[in-house]
Amino acid sequence: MDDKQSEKPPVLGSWKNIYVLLIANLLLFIILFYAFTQYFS
Amino acid sequence: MSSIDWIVLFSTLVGIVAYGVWKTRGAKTMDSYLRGGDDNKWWAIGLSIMATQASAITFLSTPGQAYTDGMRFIQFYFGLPVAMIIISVFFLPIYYKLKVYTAYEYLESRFDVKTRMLAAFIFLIQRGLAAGITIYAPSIILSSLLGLRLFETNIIIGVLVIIYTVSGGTNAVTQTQKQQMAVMMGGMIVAGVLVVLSLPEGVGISEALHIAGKMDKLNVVNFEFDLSDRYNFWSGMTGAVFLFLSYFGTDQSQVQRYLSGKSLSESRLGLMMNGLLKVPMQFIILIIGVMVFVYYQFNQPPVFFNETVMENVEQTEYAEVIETVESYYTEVFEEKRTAVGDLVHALQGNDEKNIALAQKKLNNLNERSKAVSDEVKYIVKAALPDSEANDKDYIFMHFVMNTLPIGIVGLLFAVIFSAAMSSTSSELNALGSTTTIDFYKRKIKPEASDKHYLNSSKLFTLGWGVLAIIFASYLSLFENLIQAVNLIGSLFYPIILGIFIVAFFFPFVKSNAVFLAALLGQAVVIYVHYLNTIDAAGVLTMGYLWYNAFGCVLVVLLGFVIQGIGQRRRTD
Repeated sequence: MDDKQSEKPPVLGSWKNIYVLLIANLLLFIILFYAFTQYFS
Repeated sequence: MSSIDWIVLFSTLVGIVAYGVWKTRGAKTMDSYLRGGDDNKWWAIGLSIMATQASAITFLSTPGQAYTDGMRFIQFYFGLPVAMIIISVFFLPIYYKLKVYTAYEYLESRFDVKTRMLAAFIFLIQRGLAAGITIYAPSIILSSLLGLRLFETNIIIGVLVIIYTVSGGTNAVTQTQKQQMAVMMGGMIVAGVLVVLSLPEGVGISEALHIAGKMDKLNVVNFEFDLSDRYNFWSGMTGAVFLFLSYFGTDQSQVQRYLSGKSLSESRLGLMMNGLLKVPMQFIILIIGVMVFVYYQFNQPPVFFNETVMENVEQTEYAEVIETVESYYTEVFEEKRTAVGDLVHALQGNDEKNIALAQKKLNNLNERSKAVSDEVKYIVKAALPDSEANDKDYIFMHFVMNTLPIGIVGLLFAVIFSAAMSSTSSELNALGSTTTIDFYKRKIKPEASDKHYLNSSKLFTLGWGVLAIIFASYLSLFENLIQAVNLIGSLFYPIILGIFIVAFFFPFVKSNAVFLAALLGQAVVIYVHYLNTIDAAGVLTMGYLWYNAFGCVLVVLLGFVIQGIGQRRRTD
């Protein structure tokens, strides 16, 4: 195992940006699902 | 099932097992056997994490859950990306820094050996039970559908998994999970396309979604806060976060997957991949269940989906009652089919008034239809007290066997088997590793050669495999399979997570305090569940997903209180 703690991710520059992407993706899904629920109900 | 389906099924399974054994032949050291050689890329780790979580239960129960209860189950997965981030930030760097084989080794460096062993012991109990269910889930369905005995199907699944898991260890698990994920997702996408194509002419995906929506099956998000409600936004973002934190962060069957990464970055990216893809993956499986529901609005479903049980009921004194109920069920269905047709016409004409009328009529008929189904379940229970009266887990495969073309049926059976094998192999791999590292090497035989530990790991993995097969043969169904697994997890996980949370964030709390807190916390969670079961919990009444938050917070608080009392005594 490579134990370098400060490795940068291969994309988006920093891990913080990756985490923001993950949360934004989740929020987008929740908004889309909510709209989906409302539209078809 | 046709001979072509059998060929598709067995060639898929045997091919995967042979590939796993061949690809990982010659694992010569304990390190390569338990950690997989530390050279896995992020996408292999991500697939392995997802395949471990996606058991046969996922593919058997989830479409049935959507059929009966709609899509609200997906809210359970909202907490998963949050848990992935927390694990990536706090858990993973520590595991990497300490170069551990199991998550529980860390607890010894932070607390002491007894706390490590307590957590490892709880894991072995919890995961040992879950491994039995993971084999049992497809076995019970397959034995019923294929006319085999439960023990025979348990043996087929268990032995196939044991062959490559014992032979190649962690690497064999990861290698085979790539193929298994391809079979699972490929099979489900094919099933999704075919269910839409099976709908009557003039009913496309848009009409199907409108029908499902009008019948309350597209209830994806609910923001109403209700402690007793199992699946809503709030339980997903709180209780489920705790459950996923313990499952992905402290359960060795998952920790072992991402510790096989080439580097910390690869492991982190594997977790992120899971965080990005899990919610849409569950959405696809649920929407397939909803489409099956729509299909059965146009084609009469059986009054009870487990046909084997139904045939047995028809051999009892309840045969006449069942016949009467079935004929009433057919009447209701015919009325329902007409009402669905009216709804489709109203939708196509954009006629709001008739849409509302058809919807009202349809929901009324649906209630009547559900009442008939409930009555049948009651009759089944009365006629055959030892039989499972819940047919939810049979819905999807009933649709597959009676609707999909030859060849695809075999592929869908391969999906269920692959899912069972992928999660069971991770479980056996983790159970074998924890027994070797946390008990055998630590307490029983600390000084031995690498070859000795390698052989011991193989023996322990084999032993857990045999135990899981035996346990699977003596199980009986819970409310439904997916809930059984989540319930067992919710009873034990919060305690392990509580110990880890104290370890990571509260240096004030020392080993004896956390150990006592964990024992007390486990007793309280089991007691609360007992009170819930007998409807006597009063203010403590809660859906089991909440046990995860409750138990974890309880261990942390008790840890603080016990530590505080201990310090005050010493000061006095």
